[in-house]
Formats: sequence, structure tokens, C-alpha cells
Amino acid sequence: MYRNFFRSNKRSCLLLLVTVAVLLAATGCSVTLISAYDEQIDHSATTLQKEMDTFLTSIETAPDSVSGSYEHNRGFYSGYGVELRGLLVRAQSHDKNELSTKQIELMADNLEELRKSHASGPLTPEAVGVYRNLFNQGWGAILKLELAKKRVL
Amino acid sequence: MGLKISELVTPMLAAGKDSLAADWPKAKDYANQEFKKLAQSLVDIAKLVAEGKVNSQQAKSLLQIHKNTTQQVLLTVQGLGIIAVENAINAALKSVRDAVNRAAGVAIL
Repeated sequence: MYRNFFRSNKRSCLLLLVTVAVLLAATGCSVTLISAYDEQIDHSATTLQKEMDTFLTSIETAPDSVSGSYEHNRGFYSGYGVELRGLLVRAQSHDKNELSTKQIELMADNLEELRKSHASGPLTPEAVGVYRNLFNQGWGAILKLELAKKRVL
Repeated sequence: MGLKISELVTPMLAAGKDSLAADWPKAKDYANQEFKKLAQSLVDIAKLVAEGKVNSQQAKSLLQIHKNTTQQVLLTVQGLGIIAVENAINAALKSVRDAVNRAAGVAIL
């Protein structure tokens, strides 16, 4: 029924579409479907990526030592969690930023999984390499999306 | 002014199509590259488990982290797609402004 309507009224529909486009263009409107780029989120994500990489690399080189143990590194997990929640609050403050917000929530879950892993026993150097790759890839995804939001004005 | 619909629709469609053609390959290339990395990570996790380099909690956590990372990548692909659509719509709107101004012989929009 609708297909016949549009076929028989193709010219009217096109006219309506073009009229809307002209009105939008006339008011200087552009369409925004996703939030604007946030330099602070860019910098924070970059910093958090480096902090996690540094932490995992330090664990990798001393897995069975005191310095590599979970007990010795409890503070890292709580501090990193605070920084992540700060980033989440900032991302949530933007309209149309649900995708980035969800990515940061997933990163918070990854931190908790890493914490549980570490609390359950020493992390072998081989395992640390895989954790590091995944965390770096996650941060890479977050940064890729944030940088893509830079618009050419 | 004598502006015809085809003088607006045609450049709109062309501008939108060109914009999408430029943006979509970037999302596709990114997705391909990242999926390869994720596949390798899954192989690495299986190897860790097989060689006893992780305990059961660590194996479970690694798989959850892998799942979350896959979702993070997919969200970026989704975002790149949305940005591509936004760019295409705005390119089409710009072509309307340009077409109207050309027909009028002066920048009225």
C-alpha cells in the first residue's frame, strides 16, 4: 500500500524532501548525529592507556616477586578506577555520546576482571602480554572514535 | 529563479554518495585490522590455557576482557558509520545551498 503511495506520489515526496533540505540549508543548519570531539577525553584516554601499559609491563618483569604481587599493587587498581570514573562522568556529560560512554563502562569492567585475575594468583609474563594487547586495543578503539568526532568546519 | 527539483536532488545525491564513498572504506579498513588482532588474541588465550600459564579465574577473566574489547571495537565501527552518515547528510545540505546560490547568481543562503 505504501509502495504504491510513494510510486504515485514520487514527485510530491521528492518536492517535500527538497523543500525540507532547502529550509535546513537556508537556516544554516547542519545535522549532528554524534557528540563533539572532547580534547580532555582524548588526553585522559591517552594517559590512562599509558598508565595501564606501564603497570602491566612492570608486572611482566617481576611476576613472582613482592613488587609484582596483587597485595603490593592494590593501590593501582583503586586509583585507576577513580580516574576511569572521572572519564566516564565527563563522557556522560555530552549529548549523543552513548557509544563512547559504553566503551568506557566496558573498560571499567576490564579493570575489574584484571583485578580479579591478579588477586587469584601471579600473572605470568605470557599472560601479561595478552592482557596488555587487549587493554591497548580497547583504548585504541576509544581514541579512534573520539578523534573521528573532530569535524572539518 | 527557475530552479528545478533535479537541479537540487541530483547534486544532493552525488554529494552524499561521494561523502559516504570516502568515509566508508575507513571504517571497513579499521574493522578488518581490529578483527585480525582480536582473532590473534583468542588464539593466544587458548594457548595460555593449554600450556597452564593461567589459572581458571584468569582464563575466565581474559575471555570476558576479550568479549568487552570486541564490543569496544564494534562500538567504534558503529560510531564511524554514524559520522559517515552525518558527513553525507551535511554534504548534501551544502550542495543544496550551493545550487540555490548558483541559480540565484548571488549568495542568498
